[in-house]
Amino acid sequence: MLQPRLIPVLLVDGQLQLVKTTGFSERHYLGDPLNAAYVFSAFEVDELLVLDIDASTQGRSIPLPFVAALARFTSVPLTVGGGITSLEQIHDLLALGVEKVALSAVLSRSFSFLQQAADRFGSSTISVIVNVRSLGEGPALAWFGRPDAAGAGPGQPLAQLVLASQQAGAGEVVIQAADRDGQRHGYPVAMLAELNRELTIPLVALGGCGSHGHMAELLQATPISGVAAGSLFVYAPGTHQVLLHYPPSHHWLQQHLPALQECWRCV
Amino acid sequence: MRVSKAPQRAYQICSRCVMDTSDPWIVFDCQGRCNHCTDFLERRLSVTAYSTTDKIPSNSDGPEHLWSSIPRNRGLHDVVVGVSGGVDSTSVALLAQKAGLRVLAVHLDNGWDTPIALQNVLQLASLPGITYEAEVLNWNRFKAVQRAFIAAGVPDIELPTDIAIQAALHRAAVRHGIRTILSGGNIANEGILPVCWMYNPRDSLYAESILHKAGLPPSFYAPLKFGFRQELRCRLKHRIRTLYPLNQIRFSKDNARQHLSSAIGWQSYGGKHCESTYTRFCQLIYQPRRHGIDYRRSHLSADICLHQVTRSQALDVLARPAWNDLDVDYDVAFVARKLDFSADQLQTAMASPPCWYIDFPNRQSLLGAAYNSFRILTGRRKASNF
Amino acid sequence: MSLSVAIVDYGTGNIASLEMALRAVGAEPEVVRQPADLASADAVILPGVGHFGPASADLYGSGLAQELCHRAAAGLPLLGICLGFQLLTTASEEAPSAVGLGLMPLSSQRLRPHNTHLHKVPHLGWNTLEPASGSSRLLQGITPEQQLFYFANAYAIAPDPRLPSIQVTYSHETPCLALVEHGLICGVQFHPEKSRSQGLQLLRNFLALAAECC
Repeated sequence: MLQPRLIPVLLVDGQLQLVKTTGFSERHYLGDPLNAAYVFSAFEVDELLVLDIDASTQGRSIPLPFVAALARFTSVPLTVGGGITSLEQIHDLLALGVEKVALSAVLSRSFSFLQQAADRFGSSTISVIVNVRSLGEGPALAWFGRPDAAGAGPGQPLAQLVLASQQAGAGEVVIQAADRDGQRHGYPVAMLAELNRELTIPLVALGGCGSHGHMAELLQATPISGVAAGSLFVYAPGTHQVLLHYPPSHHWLQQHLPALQECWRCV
Repeated sequence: MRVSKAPQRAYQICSRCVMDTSDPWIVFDCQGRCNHCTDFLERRLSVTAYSTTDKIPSNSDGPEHLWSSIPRNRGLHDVVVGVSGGVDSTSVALLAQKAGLRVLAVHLDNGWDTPIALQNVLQLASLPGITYEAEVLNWNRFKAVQRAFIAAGVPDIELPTDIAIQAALHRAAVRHGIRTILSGGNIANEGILPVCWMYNPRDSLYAESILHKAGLPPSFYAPLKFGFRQELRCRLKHRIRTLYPLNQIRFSKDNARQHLSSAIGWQSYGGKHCESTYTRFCQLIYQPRRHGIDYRRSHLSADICLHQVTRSQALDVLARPAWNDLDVDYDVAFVARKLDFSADQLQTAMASPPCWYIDFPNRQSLLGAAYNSFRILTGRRKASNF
Repeated sequence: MSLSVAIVDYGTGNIASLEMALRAVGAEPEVVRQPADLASADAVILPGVGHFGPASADLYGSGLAQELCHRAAAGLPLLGICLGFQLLTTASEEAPSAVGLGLMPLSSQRLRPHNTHLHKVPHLGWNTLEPASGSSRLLQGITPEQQLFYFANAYAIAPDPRLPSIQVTYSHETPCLALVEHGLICGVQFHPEKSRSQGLQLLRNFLALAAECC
């Protein structure tokens, strides 16, 4: 049976510095992203997601030489994103050795770009990142593009936006819980479980994970396709001190997988 | 074409150990024995547990008298230990923890960490009594410093990291009010090391002149810097001292590896100092190619002096190139890419004429005198290279 | 002497990872766009990603399809990866008017699981293989516990028990072909170039198979 993917997320800024955000405003400097990618590749992560978080505001896309280096010095499945706006950019990125590209900001200006990309390159290569505000009352509101509140418009109902993306050929949707970024209080489990029931394409959760307990909570509630995290994999457990790691989480998942899969068959 | 001021020597190798004229300043006596093993046997070992035939505590217990001399702090930690994931620093941290000291384990992230080293650090960080802290160097600036050292043509391209570790440990000690730094440095393994292979990291003039030649401002060096003045301030004002526990036991790396493996699941990675990709590149590729230095000579020579290996066995080891088990092209490509060189540019740099520390402004004699005075005043014996 | 492995470029997707993986196992891959380029190839790989329709059009348009069939009949080992696997078959639902190379009497259909809560499309991630029916050359040296590979497919090929070929399946609600060995024509639905040491071992095994034929 297909296993849920455990996906470390690397954020790079405009100077190609590896950073971790809290609330998408505070940035904590983590070091060299190329070395981090090499380390996670050596840890044999299920997939690695690398996002240039300044690209779209700076009117450019994630730099090709940087992605070329990522592809050259890693051997794990790679998804990259940040400011992608054209089919040529997608072509060039895939040609470098990347499995998937992640689209977000461009879709708030031109939603039809999603269908064009999926038609040209196949849905398996197109990942869509949707930001959502999940805490507080009222329906969850979602938007493409910058996850910080300042950039967000009124937003659309989550399910509507995600189903439209599915319809347009997205290969997977990454739900980024914008208000849980760096908090390490857990995923928005109920919201994700409900969404996962409605979708026929893979769903990946990102934002809020601080422990295996949070992963367990989510995986027990729903057979989600992917569990992505930043803080969990870059900080020493329970601290704000940089220490890249992955194997303990991988072993944890492998141990719990049989029970989870049993659980899902009944879901 | 740059010509170094280093002496040109006809090849000669020591008749007792395996140090040779890849140290251009090596001196041989009339029996062909070199100054390194002579100094090691006659002077260096005197600060270690090898100098006595008294009963020595085993690897796993550590020196009792040393632990009892360390003041317990009112703060949260008693000692600072720099941890790299390697066998020496991990051993020290574990010994201290076992002795009941509260350890602040500081890891300097210089952008070159390997996965196994990080796993080893994680094992350590998970133990009770050990608090983990990371100091992450600004990579974009640090790589400029490393580029400058490669451009300079000197063999001690690891100096920026070595001094950055000292700076980080002392900063952590000051910040937390800790007065004792425990170092994994030990004479048994590192007691033979020519100054010209790794010049004194405390000599800021040397490092700053290399940066100046590369057009970098002193601000690039400032976060890494730990010079004589800073050291003096730490010792006199903050009363911070550095101790070397591994010198107080008959430290055996092989025994230590086994012990760490069973105690905390420590993993080896083969090759000395290969917890860092850059160290591996420096010692196994760069230094051999550019300066004809085989770093293995230094610890093999110490091993010969301690009768842990015969000279013949050491020569057999040296007969196999240091880079034999490496994918050299891959390593060179990776290092080049990280440092913003093309692979060709890095190869060209490695093929360029070598330089040595004497080709750059330095304060060797002044610092030598200063440290000697300090030792005379405090009655300490010379425990390191400087 | 290292084997000359040709990777067919039909204008879509990711060849770079495959090139790197082949170099890692000691092969010297050459990217091929014209039939004449196949002349010195000891083995050919059809790579992974894209659309059946345009890929097929490109293959036939350049004459590569015809040359591949001709060389395959003469015993040239072929390995199709993901889309490349589907191109070795007769047809795909993805582009009903296009034709595959027809080197395997199989065809691809869109994945349509009933339980879409549990089984999503595309099939994306790491999945295990069901035990091999016969003795698979490609899986030699890869223990059952290690038979976990990276997939990224929206289309799948159903197994056909009537065929004498080695067929190994994965499960995505129903069994689908993960690997086929049809004489020297091999196909894998997953991406060995991104599947850790077991993926590299599979590529090594394919090269060993090819070396025997030289």
